[in-house]
Amino acid sequence: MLFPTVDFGLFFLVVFAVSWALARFNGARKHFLLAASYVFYGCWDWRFCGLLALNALINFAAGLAIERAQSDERRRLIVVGAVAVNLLILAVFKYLGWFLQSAHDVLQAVGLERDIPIIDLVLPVGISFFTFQGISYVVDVYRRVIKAERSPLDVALYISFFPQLVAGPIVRASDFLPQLKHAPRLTERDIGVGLTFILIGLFKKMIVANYLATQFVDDVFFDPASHSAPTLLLAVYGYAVQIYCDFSGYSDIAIGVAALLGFQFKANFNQPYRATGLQDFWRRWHISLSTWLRDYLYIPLGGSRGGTIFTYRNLMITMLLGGIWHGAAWTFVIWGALHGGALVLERVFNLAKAAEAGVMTRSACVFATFHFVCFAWIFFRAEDLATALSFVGGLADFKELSPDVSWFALGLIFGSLAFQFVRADLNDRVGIWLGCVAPIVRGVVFIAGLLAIQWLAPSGVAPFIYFQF
Amino acid sequence: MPKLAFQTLVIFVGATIALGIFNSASLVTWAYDLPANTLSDGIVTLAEVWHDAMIDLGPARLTEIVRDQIGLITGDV
Repeated sequence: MLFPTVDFGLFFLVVFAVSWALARFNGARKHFLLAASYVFYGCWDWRFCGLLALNALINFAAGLAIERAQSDERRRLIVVGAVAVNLLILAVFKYLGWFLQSAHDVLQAVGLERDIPIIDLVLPVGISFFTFQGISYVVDVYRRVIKAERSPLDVALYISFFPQLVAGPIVRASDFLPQLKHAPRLTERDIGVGLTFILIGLFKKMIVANYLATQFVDDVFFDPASHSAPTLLLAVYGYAVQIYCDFSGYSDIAIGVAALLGFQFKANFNQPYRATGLQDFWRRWHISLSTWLRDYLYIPLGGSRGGTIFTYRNLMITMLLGGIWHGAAWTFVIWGALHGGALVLERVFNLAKAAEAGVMTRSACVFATFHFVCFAWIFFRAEDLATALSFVGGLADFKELSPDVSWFALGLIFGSLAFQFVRADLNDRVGIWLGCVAPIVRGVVFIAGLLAIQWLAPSGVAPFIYFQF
Repeated sequence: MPKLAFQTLVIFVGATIALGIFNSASLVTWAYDLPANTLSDGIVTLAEVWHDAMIDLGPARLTEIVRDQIGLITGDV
């Protein structure tokens, strides 16, 4: 059930009405929201609802066991076991097929061909996201950031709450669980922000991302060898805008939907293409994942406590694993390695300090960071390594200098990039304004916005890019 | 139901009706994608009748004209 569809519209209408009708009965409301979340998830593949329930059960039990454990050693043992089980389930669905195929290829290359079974498991949608939420819960209990939750219902709802279930943002238990403890409240600000974020998210996804994908980017990435260097360059810019609008659009809708149900999610993006360096970029891009990787991978590895070389090692490991998290493919490994290597170089040459110099230096840093990120996107987007290398080779081939791109696509690309430099709190301010106006005005703005998006959007509904992760 | 939630529900119902009126073609497409059974057959018939009515009354034709004009700019024709 994709957000911009009739199915989701009708689903949300019912969920909104019933959940607020149950506002005075918090327990019943939570039961209803849990059931609705399982219906939402079951629409993709009902068989995996069991996996979702298993995830909640394992992490609920592990949280209680950690809190009741008598010794630190036992607590550590339980948290390691719980994290291992979470990762094992993720690995089986996400990486087993790739691992067996790679093993088969290696053995074949050295002349030791064996009959290794090739397994092609269906990837449960959103498995990475709910696995990461489960891990963050048990680790936070272990670190005593939060107390173990006594209610299995609350843990199950935290793991499976439908707005963030399939593509994030990765919500922390310490942010979400306290919101389940009291009767929900809906303020005018929540309504204004919720409606605004839904409209902005739909605009980004249905108009910017879908047009760029269908009219320009997909075609160029399918066969980069048949396009000129300027077209390839514009296609990378186009993909940078497309993936930003696709993913941040989903996050915006999720934040808006949650706000309308009385829940607050933190921002997941903050104008990433105005970053002055890679460290700055990762503070602005997919914030819930980058902070998750920092808190549950980089810091447990030692962070920056073990000296310079260990810091660089930990950065590389974190970014490599961050790359592999996106999928079992060498292109994602290279993408992670590029970001990890650049983060290390940025520290070696203290480039973050340089970005603070003057306007010109700062602008040069933004330009360089954006182009590095775009270069890495080539590996992220390409179907395979050969296509990525063909794309990179084509960028250096200046035989043909005329770009093959419509004015409309150009307008979308550069218009969207220009929006990276408006006030960072613009969406919030619009939302607050919409919350303050008379309900009739709010309704007219929302309905007119929806109709305009429907008219402007290309036909058909493309899936969100991050569903595959 | 809290007053603000009720007001918002009215907005959502209004939005659903507006989309149903001006975007009735999407309802037909949605109905065609439903799993085939007696219920969905009825929904398909209803969606088609509704869409025909919206063409006759004008809103669906207005949408077609607007989308055609936008298609000339975007190239999505």
